[in-house]
Amino acid sequence: MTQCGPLAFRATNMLNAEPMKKKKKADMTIVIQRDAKKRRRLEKNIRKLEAKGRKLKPIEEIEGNRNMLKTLSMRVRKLEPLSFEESESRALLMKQWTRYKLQQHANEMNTIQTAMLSQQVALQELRNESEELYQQAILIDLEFIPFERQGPVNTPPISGYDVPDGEYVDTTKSFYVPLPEGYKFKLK
Amino acid sequence: MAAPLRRLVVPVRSSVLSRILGRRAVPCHRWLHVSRQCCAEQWQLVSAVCLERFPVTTQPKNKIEEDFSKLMAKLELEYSHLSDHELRHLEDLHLAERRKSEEYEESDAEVVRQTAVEAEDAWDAELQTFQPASRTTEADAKNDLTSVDRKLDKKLVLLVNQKLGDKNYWVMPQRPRKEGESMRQAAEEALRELCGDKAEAAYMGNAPCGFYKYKFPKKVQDEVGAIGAKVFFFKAQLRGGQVNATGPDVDGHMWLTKDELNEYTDRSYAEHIRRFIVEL
Repeated sequence: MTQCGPLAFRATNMLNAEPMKKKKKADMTIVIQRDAKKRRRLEKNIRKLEAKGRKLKPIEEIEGNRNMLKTLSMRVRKLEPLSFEESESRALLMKQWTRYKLQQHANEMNTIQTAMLSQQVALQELRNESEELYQQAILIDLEFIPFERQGPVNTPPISGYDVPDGEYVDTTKSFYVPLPEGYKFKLK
Repeated sequence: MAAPLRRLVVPVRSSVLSRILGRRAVPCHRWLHVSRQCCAEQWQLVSAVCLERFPVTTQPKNKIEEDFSKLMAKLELEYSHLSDHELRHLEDLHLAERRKSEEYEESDAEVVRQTAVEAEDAWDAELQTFQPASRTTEADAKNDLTSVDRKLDKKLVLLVNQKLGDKNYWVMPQRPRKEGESMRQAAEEALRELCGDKAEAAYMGNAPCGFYKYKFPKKVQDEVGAIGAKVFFFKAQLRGGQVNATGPDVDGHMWLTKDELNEYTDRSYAEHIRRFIVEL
């Protein structure tokens, strides 16, 4: 409360608070019982661990198909040994392929380097013209994410094609976490 | 007598100024120098959009890729075990052997049994009913350069026949920046003004990906008050919609692959834009 002037009435902080609750004193027998229970549970776990060792969580991908394992001996493919010419031509193709991929990689790196350099030059030129425009240009575009693009595909989509319902069992696990409405990625 | 006097005066003035302003006074002649350079080399800032249509279909394999993928398929088969379908086929063969012998009695399950080969034929027949779309389109047959459906396996970029000065050139849609706009906004406006608002584009960030400058003819220089234009290119991907390049400053458009650019554009322009059109 205030002592000067009736208009300046206000509640003090203490008035907002609730009276403190009395702390209950726990019954000693219950406390002892609870502790004993806890200890027993721990001991049980320790005994289990000692008996079996650590039990690992199963991983589906590693376990494999039981049925396949049983019929493994039936599933051996009988192959004729490779002829000399065949193995030579394979080795040659492998070498050609390696050279081809190396060349392709070099071309890709070259293209990327050129594109990056082109951007550096553009940014530098922009900076020479105006510092303000440069600062606008290097801002991160927050509306860019999430970005989605489909393709390329083997044959182009048929426009207006009505997809028939096929039979399939979808075993794919979804790890999609939906973002809240209107969520934007924040930068630190 | 004059020279020593001036030498005396200048330090006094600057020290007084700095005392008044509370900071170091900048010598006047430096400002003059900067501004004079500015006026002499005034460039018009122009934003352009590099609108790309990404490949819709995969590229055909070349000889070595074809050979190698065949080899990989062969190796995969060799390293593999028999599949359920192949086991079924082996069982079929075994059953056919048994049927030949005299003491064979056919069970109910064996009567209705569909062999692996029969199943394959049924699958083939089912596949025949579906006709996938052709990888070459009508636009390819007509060689229609304005269609976005041409050359589905290549990346296409948009060029418009834009009036720059008195003449028309094949360039990426461009427009001078207006006061208060960022370069990216100018690029977005350029596409909207020149190609209509039907074409949806997703812009690839705020930074320009390329740069090109050219000088105006003498007449235009005096008119615009700049000796030339500095063009900054912004990349965008076509999301859908049609490009409609008709208007006072623009007459028609083309979708070209990277290799076709040289035929239609100025040589040095083509060389500059080819740097940032990444076709991998």
